[in-house]
Amino acid sequence: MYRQGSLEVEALAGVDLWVKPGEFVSIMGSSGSGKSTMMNILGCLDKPTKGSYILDGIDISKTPDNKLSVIRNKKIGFVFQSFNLLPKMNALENVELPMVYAGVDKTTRRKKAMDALERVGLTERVKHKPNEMSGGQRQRVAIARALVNDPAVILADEPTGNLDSKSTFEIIDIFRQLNKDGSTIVMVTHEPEVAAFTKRIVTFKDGKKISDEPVEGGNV
Amino acid sequence: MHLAENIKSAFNNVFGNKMRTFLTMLGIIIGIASVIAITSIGNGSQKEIEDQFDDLGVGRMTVTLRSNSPRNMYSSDALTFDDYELLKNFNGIKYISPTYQANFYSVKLLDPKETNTAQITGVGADYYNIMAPDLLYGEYIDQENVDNKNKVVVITDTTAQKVFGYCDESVVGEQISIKSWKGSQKYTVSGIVENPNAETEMQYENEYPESIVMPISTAQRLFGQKTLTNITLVAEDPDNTDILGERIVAALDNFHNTSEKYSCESTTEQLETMNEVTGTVTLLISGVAAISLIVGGIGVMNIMMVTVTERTKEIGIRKSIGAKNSDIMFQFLIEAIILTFLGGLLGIAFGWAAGSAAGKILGMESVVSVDSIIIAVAISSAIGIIFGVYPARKAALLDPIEALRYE
Repeated sequence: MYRQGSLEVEALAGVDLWVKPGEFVSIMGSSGSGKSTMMNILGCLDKPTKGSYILDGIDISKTPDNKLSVIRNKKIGFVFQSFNLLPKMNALENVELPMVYAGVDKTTRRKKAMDALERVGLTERVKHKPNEMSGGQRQRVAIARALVNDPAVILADEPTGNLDSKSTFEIIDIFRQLNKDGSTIVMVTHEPEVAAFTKRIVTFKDGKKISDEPVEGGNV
Repeated sequence: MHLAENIKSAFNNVFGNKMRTFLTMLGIIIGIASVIAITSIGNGSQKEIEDQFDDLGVGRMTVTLRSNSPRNMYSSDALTFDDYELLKNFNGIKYISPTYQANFYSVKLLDPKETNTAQITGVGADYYNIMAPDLLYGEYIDQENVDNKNKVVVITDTTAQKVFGYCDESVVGEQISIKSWKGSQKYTVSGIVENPNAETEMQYENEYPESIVMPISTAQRLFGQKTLTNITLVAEDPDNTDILGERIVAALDNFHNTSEKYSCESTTEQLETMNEVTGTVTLLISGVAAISLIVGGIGVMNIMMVTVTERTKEIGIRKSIGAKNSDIMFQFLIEAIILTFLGGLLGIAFGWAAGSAAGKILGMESVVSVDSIIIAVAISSAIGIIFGVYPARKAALLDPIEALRYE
């Protein structure tokens, strides 16, 4: 049901962006190019002042602010460059948190969180706190947290920016696997070699979309 | 977000930093503890006063010389039987009895077992009706005893226990010796009353004199005195004791040809005043102590502001994964309430302990009423809400983008 609709963005300077269900898009651009604003709008943290953003059939630009948190909770999974896990909670609790806000009962929460952690290949150390884990492990926890509510789209903002190349490859691999399993993923990155693993690259410059093309022979 | 989850996570955060939590609570703890301690002492002394009310009865009044100095006591102004006779036929008096109270240090009970000193009260026949003691065995002093200067006494159950080693019907008719400077004389026990102050006296072991009641005539002969210590009476109309008192004083002044030499006051009146004063003082000191609660509340607010700033990033993360503004608001509000609520509970415990310790030292009763506990818990929680709302609201209204960017 989540993957029935599509994403439309018209932002910044007449940017028109469609993301279809099941796509794996990377957004590239230097700082100040508008990609962060784009991510904030895609993530329903911000609303476009003009134009519209349709997520999964819902017109976000017309959704009142207090409903946006519910949209973020159910339709979007964030993965950040600095992981953004809550330091006082262990991995499992971090993954459970979106479901706590969704009002899911404890047993279901635990089970779904374990499933999500298994999907990112993290079955051990689930009771460890983030500061007891490596960067790659933390990002896996963050990805598990992002996908645990079955969102319409996973938004990853420089997810490999803080990782070494080995972990970067592992994380990219997880994203590719998730995409293969049907997840829609939008990823901001400034590393061409990371972008090369996605299916489509959109490039921004000065608030404008300057290119939007599929990756040749990339992701298959 | 479920309330239980919210409370659990709030507890985790509150106890994540124990030292800070304790210091923050300290203001509330001290505030609540001092209010509880003060009101417990205040309640205790009010209760003591009220207990005395019960002993005093309604409309009971005492006629005395305004100044009880020995010079007055033995002057021609001193109260005598003549004054008693004068007042006996007064309108508006229900019962009246002359009393003579002997300085007790000189009187000792000897037989069959020596005990400590005794306070001897010589009374008239109405005294029983005035004081309404609980007569356990035998008979109280009656008019015949007074007329015949009978050597009979009424003792308390505690005295009987001390002198005879037991207290039952058989003590009535037994004899006790009272030793004064005139030597020791034997008196027959005619009745035993319950000692209303038994509990208090127990605390002081043998320091309390034995309370012995005998006919006024007998007492005067024993001590060789013609004067009265006071005249005790019960007004027919307990609501207008002040008018009766003025009339009695006027009559006595007239009789003795003096001016304002006598006083006739209702004992309940005096106690009521005392009770009011105690209540006011308690309220006043509690008010001062309550100010420290406001200071404690400001401390809580301060630390909550710091917490919100420190956890800006966390707030951003929570919002990005779907926390509503109300979820964040409740999270911080509950943390503030937990701080003050627990502070309140600890305050009650400390205040209770401090109150009873102070009560023991001061020789006063301390009573922590259910009311004051409920009020303390309510106030401390209310402080949490009042001083927690602003920081919690500030947290809830944080812009998620800004918050996420915060390092």
